[in-house]
Amino acid sequence: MFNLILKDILIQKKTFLFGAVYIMIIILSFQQIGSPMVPASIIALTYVMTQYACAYDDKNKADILLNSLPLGRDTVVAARYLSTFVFLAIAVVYYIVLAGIISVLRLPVRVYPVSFEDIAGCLFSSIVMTSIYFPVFFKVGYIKSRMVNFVLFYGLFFVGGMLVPELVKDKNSELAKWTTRLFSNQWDVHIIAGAFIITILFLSTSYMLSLKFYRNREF
Amino acid sequence: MAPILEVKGLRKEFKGFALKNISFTLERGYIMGFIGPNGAGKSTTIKLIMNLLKRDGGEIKVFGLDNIKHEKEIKNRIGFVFDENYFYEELTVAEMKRVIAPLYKNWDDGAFNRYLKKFSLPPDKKIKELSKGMKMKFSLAVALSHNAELLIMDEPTSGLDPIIRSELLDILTSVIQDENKGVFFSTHITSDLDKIADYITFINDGRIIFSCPKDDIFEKYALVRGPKEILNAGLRQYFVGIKENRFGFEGLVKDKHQLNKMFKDGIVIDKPSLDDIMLYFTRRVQNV
Repeated sequence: MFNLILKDILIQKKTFLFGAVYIMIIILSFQQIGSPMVPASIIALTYVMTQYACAYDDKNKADILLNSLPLGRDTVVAARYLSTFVFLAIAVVYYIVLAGIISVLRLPVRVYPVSFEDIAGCLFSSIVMTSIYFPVFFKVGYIKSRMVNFVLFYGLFFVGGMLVPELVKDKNSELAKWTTRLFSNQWDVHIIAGAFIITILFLSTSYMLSLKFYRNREF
Repeated sequence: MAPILEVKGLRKEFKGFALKNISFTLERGYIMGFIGPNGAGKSTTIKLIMNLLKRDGGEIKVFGLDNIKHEKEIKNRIGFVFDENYFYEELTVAEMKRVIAPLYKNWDDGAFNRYLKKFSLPPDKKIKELSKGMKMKFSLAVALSHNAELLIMDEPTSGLDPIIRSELLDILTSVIQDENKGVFFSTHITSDLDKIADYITFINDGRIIFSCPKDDIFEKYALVRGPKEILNAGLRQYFVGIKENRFGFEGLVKDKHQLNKMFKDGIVIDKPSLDDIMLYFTRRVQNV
C-alpha cells in the first residue's frame, strides 16, 4: 500500500512545484475575506493533488498495470483513500511554510496561522469530498466522474463564497447566530465525538461502496 | 504435476462478440503461441487469465490454482508483457522499479540490474522518453526479475523492429531452458512462433480451432495446388478453404495423408506456414 501512495507522490512532482503557486493565489484572493484562506488553501491543494493522482492513473491506464501486479483490489482502493490524507498533510505543511516565509519577509500580504480547528475542518471537508467522489470514480473511472468532481469542487466554493460574506456582514443574522453557537460549543466532547463517528461512518460506507464497485470493474 | 496453465470451457460474452467454451492446456517447459486474427479473442482470453475481465463460465487454473481464488499468489509467480506500455510514463525506470519491486515476494534486484545493463536501459530516463522497443524491454526486465514461472505475453512483438524481435525470441528461448517455466505468447506475427513455439493454439471468432504441438500441425495440414478440372464437390469437402482462379486452385487440407492416398498425380502438396493456416481458416473460401 505504501508503494501506491509513493507512486501517487512521485508522479506529481510538477504539482508539488505548482503547489506554492496555487496556495499563493488563494492567499491573495482571500485578502478581503480573512482567515478562511487557511482551510481554502489546504482544501484546494488537497483537492488538486487528489484529482491529479486520479487523472494520471487514468492517462496511464493504470488499472491494467495495478491489477496485473500481486495486489488485491482492496489495496488499490485503500491506497487511494489514504493518499488523500497524505496530500492533506502535505498541503498543511505547504501553507505553514508559505505563510511563514510571507511573515518573515514582512510582505504586504495578510496571512493567518493554522489552528487545530482549521485542520479538523479541512479533514472533515476532505473526507466528505472524497467520500462522495471516490465511489463514483471507482464505478465509472476518471473521465466519466468529472461532472461529479466539478459539482463538488465548485459547489464547495460557491457555498463557501455565499456563506462567509453573509456571516461577516451581519453578525445578528440567524445563520451567524447558529454558526457562533456551533463554534462556541466546539470543544464539547459530545459534538466532537458525534462528528467523529459520523465522519468515520461516512468514510467507511464510501470505502465499502468504492470497493464493491471496483471489484466489479473490468479493464 | 499440474499444468502451468489450464483453461477449460471458458466463456465470456460481449455485445457482438463471445468467447465460446474455449479450452487449452500448457505444460511446464514449453512455449505456447496463441494465434488468431485481430478481434479473434486473444487479448480477451489473456485478460480473463489475468482476471482483468470477469468470466461468464468455465475454469482457469494457473499452477493448478484457480486464477480468482488464488489471484495474489498466482500474480506473484507470473510475469506479464502487454502489447502497449502500461507503466507510469511520468516516472523514471528506477522510480517505477521502486514502486513495483516490493510488491513481489521474490524480487531479485541483481537480476533487474543485469537486465537493465543487457538491454541498455538508462535508470534515470522517464518511461515516456523510451522508444517502443525500449518500453517493451523494460516490461520484459520487470517480468523476468521476480523469478516468474509463467510468462504471459500479449502481442509483445507487434510494432517492434526485426532486431528487437529477434532479441526477445532469444531471451524467451533461454527462459525456457528451465523446464519448470512456461511461456504463453499471443501474436499475429506467426513467423516468430515458427522459430520458438512448441505448441500452437489457434483462435478464430471466439472459438479454438486447434491447440496442439506445432510439429503435429505441419504433419497434418498441407497446402494443395492443382488444376481446376479435378476440383469437384467430393474433393472440396477435404479443404478448410480454397482459392480459385482461371487456371487452378490452391487450398488448405486438414489431412494431407488422406489426400495423398486419393491423388497420386495431378496435385502439388506443400508445407503450409502458420500464416497460410490462419488465412484459410479465417477466409474459408475465396475466389481470386
